[in-house]
Amino acid sequence: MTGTVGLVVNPGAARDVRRLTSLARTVDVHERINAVARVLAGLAAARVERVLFMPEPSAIVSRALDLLAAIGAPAPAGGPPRVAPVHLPGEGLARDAAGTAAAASAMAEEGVDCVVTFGGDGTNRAVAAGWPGGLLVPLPGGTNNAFAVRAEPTAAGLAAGLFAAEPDAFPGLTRQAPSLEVHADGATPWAALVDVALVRGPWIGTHALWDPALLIEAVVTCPDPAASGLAGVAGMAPPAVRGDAVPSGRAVHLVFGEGGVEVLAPLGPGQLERVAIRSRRPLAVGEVVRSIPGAATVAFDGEREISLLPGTPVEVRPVPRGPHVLDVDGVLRAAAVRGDLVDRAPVPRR
Amino acid sequence: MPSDDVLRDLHRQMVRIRIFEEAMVSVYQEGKTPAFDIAAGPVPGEMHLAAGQEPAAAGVCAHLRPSDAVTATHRPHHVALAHGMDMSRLAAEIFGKDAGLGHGKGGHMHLFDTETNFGCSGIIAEGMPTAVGHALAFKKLGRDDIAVSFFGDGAANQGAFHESLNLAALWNLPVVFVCEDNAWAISVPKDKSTAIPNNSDRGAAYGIPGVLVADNDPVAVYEAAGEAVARARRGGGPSLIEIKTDRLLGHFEGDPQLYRTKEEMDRLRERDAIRAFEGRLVETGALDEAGRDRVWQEARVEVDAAIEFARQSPYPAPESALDHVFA
Repeated sequence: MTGTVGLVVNPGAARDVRRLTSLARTVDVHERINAVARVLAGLAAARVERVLFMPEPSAIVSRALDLLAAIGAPAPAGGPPRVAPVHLPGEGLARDAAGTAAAASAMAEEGVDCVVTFGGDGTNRAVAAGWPGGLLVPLPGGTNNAFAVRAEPTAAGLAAGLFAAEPDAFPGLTRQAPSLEVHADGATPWAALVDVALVRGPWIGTHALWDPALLIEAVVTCPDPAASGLAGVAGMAPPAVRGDAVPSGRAVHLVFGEGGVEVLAPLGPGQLERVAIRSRRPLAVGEVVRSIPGAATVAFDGEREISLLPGTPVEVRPVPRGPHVLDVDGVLRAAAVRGDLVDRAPVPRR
Repeated sequence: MPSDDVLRDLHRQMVRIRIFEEAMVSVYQEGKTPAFDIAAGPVPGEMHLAAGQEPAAAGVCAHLRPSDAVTATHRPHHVALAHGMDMSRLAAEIFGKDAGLGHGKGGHMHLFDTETNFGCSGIIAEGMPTAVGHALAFKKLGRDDIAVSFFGDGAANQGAFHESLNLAALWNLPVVFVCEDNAWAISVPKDKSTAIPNNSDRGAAYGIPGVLVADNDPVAVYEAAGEAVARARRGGGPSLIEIKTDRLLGHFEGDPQLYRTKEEMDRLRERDAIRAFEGRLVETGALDEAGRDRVWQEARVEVDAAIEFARQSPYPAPESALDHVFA
């Protein structure tokens, strides 16, 4: 038994105003507890030695352990894996993106082999900031989930655990995702994983983006017509670029407004809007997009985070360096072909 | 995206509410010292003040008309003022004077104003079924007015909360439920009373969309409430908005708040929503420093005048004791 897996669940994702402006569903606390319980079940079956989780006010991981016990599932106490929170300063709980990044950082210091996340694109951005270049297994627990892998939590837990126990047994089953570096107003905020958008008006407000009329321009790492959010908008707009195997650095720069095409695209789940796109072009590797947008906010992965006063320049640079992502399907296929779970004893029940 | 005029008005509302609540702190204590006597002084009875919760009231009520019905709680002043209640009549009612909204017979927790269709009471969650009733009436009358129910995190555990959400969803009523989560139900912290961390999740049990506004910020509230109000007005039915807000004062005036740490109180004061919002308004140029100072000065003048009006107003005549009451 070897391997350490990190677990980051964002208790606050998928609850914002987009529940009213689109068909985004609420991912309530019980759905999170359920997903985490399934991940833990997969990790236990993979015989991971240690699970380190981000402690947060909703105590989702503790409740997931209770849920596993309630169904008579193997309990980690007295059997693998050991499940413990990472140490965080102050009150010891993560309450925001900075806390999430601190937790990821602590996990990296503890030597985790990968981190399973259940949150939105913003959660993954924070984890990537705390563990630059780290290996993520990002499950779709947010609103648009453009960065997440489409995997069922039990499978994700099993794959993460099998990989963590023996990374060398699964060569070539991680890929490095690109990201977007931003310089704004002298600050260097965390890189974005999916998109950076400039939005009219200097007020961060409720963070979420939902009104296409307020979009000025955007840079999207991986256009994907099957995604929702700006990745989907960029994916739907011609000229089309194949979504999956985009060479690293081939991000797309969109300028919104009249004079180009109007594309019907999924700005949010179930929210198909006509988005006016004046221009759309792929960016060369290392090409910088520079803008002076006036009174605006900079949105990272669909959430307004930085407020700009008029005259402030913003630079966005796509880079091939970002977090790594585990190929869940690939790991499980390799394990099946090799018979890794054949004749493996189940973890003892209580 | 709110215009500069809207932003300045949000600021003005929050400032006048804060000045009013702070004035109530000192007015309430008059006559009650050295030994606390709840019946003594110009403001007898209890007092529950909403300093810190201004963003919730201002951000929601900015979208409302006087004909929209608003119900609130035992901590009502910020909502009442944001919805347009006359400050002098509010103050007179608190002082128990005949010129008050209820001829002085309701007091600070029982404010009923036909001009702004406002009502509140001290019974936890009482305002929720009342708001549902208003919404039912609007729907039957074919009006595009809506009802808004303000309640707290403690009220969300009352039966009336669940009954109200169920009926509003069943009949697709134009009502917006606004939960001001200030983390304390009197002295009970939410995690000791509530099975789930976010009451906005509870909407799902009734098919009502729930939105969490995690910042005590008037623009965040304004944006979320705008969508909920528009949805209700166009016949889209009820919504539930949960706002994380800050109760800067005690549950009641005179509350020693032994259950709260100094660290928490210091943290809340440091992140005062009015100061943060005001700073941003000045930075973006929506307000200059002279304009900002003028807002505070005008608010002080308005509050002083309202309290003076209340002080000078006569009490109801003893002969009218049995008027205006049901028995």
